[in-house]
Amino acid sequence: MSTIIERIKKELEAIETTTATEEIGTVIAVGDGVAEIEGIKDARMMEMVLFDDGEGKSLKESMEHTSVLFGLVLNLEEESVKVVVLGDGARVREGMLVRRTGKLLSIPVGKNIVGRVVNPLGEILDGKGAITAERDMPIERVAYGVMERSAVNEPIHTGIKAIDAMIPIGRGQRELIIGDRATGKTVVAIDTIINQKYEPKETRPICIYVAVGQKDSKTARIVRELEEHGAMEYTIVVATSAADPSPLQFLAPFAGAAIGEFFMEQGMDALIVYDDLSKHAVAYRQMSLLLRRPPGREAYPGDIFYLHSRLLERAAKLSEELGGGSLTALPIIETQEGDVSAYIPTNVISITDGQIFLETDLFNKGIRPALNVGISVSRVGSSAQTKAMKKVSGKIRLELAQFRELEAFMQFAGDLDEDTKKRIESGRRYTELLKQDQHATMPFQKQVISIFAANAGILDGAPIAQVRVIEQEFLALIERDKAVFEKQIETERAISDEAAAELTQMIEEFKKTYAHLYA
Amino acid sequence: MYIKDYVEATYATLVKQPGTNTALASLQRYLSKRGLTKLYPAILRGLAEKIRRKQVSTLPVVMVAREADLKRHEIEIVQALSKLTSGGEHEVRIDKTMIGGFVIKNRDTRIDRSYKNTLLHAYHRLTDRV
Repeated sequence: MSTIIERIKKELEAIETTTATEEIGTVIAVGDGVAEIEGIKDARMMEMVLFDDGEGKSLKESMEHTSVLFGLVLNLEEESVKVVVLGDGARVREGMLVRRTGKLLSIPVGKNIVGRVVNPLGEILDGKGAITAERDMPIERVAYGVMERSAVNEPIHTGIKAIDAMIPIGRGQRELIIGDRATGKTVVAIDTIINQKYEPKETRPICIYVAVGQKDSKTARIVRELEEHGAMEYTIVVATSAADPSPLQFLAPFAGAAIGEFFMEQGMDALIVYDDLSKHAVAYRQMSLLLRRPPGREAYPGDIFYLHSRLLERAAKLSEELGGGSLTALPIIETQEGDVSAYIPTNVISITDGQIFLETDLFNKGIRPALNVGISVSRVGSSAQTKAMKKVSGKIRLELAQFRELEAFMQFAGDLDEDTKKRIESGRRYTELLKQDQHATMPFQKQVISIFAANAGILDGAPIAQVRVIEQEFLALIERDKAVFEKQIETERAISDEAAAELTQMIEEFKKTYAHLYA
Repeated sequence: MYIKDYVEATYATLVKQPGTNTALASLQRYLSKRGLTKLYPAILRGLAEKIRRKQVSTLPVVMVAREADLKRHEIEIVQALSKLTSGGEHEVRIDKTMIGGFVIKNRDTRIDRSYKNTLLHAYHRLTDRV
């Protein structure tokens, strides 16, 4: 109670007694969430304006609205400015007064935003009380330049074996997740967030999940899953639903990037998931058409490439002088019928530092994550990969590449020579090993041991159905008898020759003890 | 061209060459040549609205909740008016919803010292709506 009284006292003291002038304008036309305003001549691009819907209304009536109605200046024209309404457009009327705020669109961010669900304007959606803002972060800003960055040299572990081994992602990288609907794109991103719980608290990245035009039920399910796995402790959700106006959907990724930059500038690491940029492009197209900007290919505005490039360019690994923080971006793109040559997919593919391709066919074959390791790449991540993972991943990459080449001959299995048959069998076992269930992420040290064991021949002679059982049994054995190996790999991030020799010895013994699994 | 562009063009012609009939006759001719006569009423409506907006009083408006407030805030009003305009002429309007204080509007600028808006801002800040 005393806090409330203190706040009221402060507010009363802060009441202005000066006669400061404010610039006002008048709404001359409004429709589809876009208002044309005459008067605010000095307005700047991306400036916030406030719709004053209290004129002629009593104080009580004015207080009835649950939120203040903001607009965002997006078109500066000769006689007027065009503003998108950030909220209920039905509240805007012709003749309504509009006030300049003088502030470029920004989002209030503080450390206690972690664990919260907010909208792109920083308004709370989870009903858990106010967020103490430490800084107002601009939603649009120029990304860090070349001299302010350092090379990507630290890995971010997704907990997914296929990705961490063959398509490694570094802190500060932009890795696209692309695939048709229902191929597990969001699952890969959410699993990556969940997997960060295995990271030590001091190096654990703050995760930001940006839902752009998603169904509210999907966002609610994701928040629940993150809570169940204890991941909301270090995650922020910026949510816009399909029912939100297009300007809010357009702003969501930028708001998420602004939150990520707040943590990056404090020397921390942050991971941001944009789910998804296809819907973001659609929202931007809608907004641009309403603003009467000329349409281009597929009716997208001409600056759609620039929109995504300036957003993704904000992912960075800062130099030591600037604190060494990083912002890693995992944008998601949904393709139609696997067509990656459409406008938005090609744009984002060319902007990012690599792609993770998910395919419907693989998904339907039961390969989950449905990752096509043949065409998925990571352009900068390999320099961030740990020594331990580098050591074991070389062979798996080669085996799978050979397997893909021979895959076409699989239907003629009877006519194949022994060596080819062996390679195909080995490839099938590796493929089975890389399968992982939803939310069953694996800490990096366990992944290393698992792949090391496969390379050392633990799966040789095993029926495909038993591959994952063998892996689980072996990892359980290590945890029980040689937990020191895991600790060593986790801290030193490398496998010593002695440990490798001892592990090979253990694999031999395992194969004898668990001979029934190979029958 | 959009209707708005026709409105702007016709308005500019009217400002340059006063004489409504000539300007409108040429507009009609132009539209009929291009088979766009259907647009004529909409352009006229837009033109009328634009002229109405341009003809709004250019005098500063002082709004108070009651006439007594003019006396009460006399010094502040004079100070504020001097900021907005060189001459002292102004229009006075009464708006009871303001509760107290005063508001001065001059074209695109406003000085708002009304009790209603002061209380409203404080309420929005206290309830974290701004």
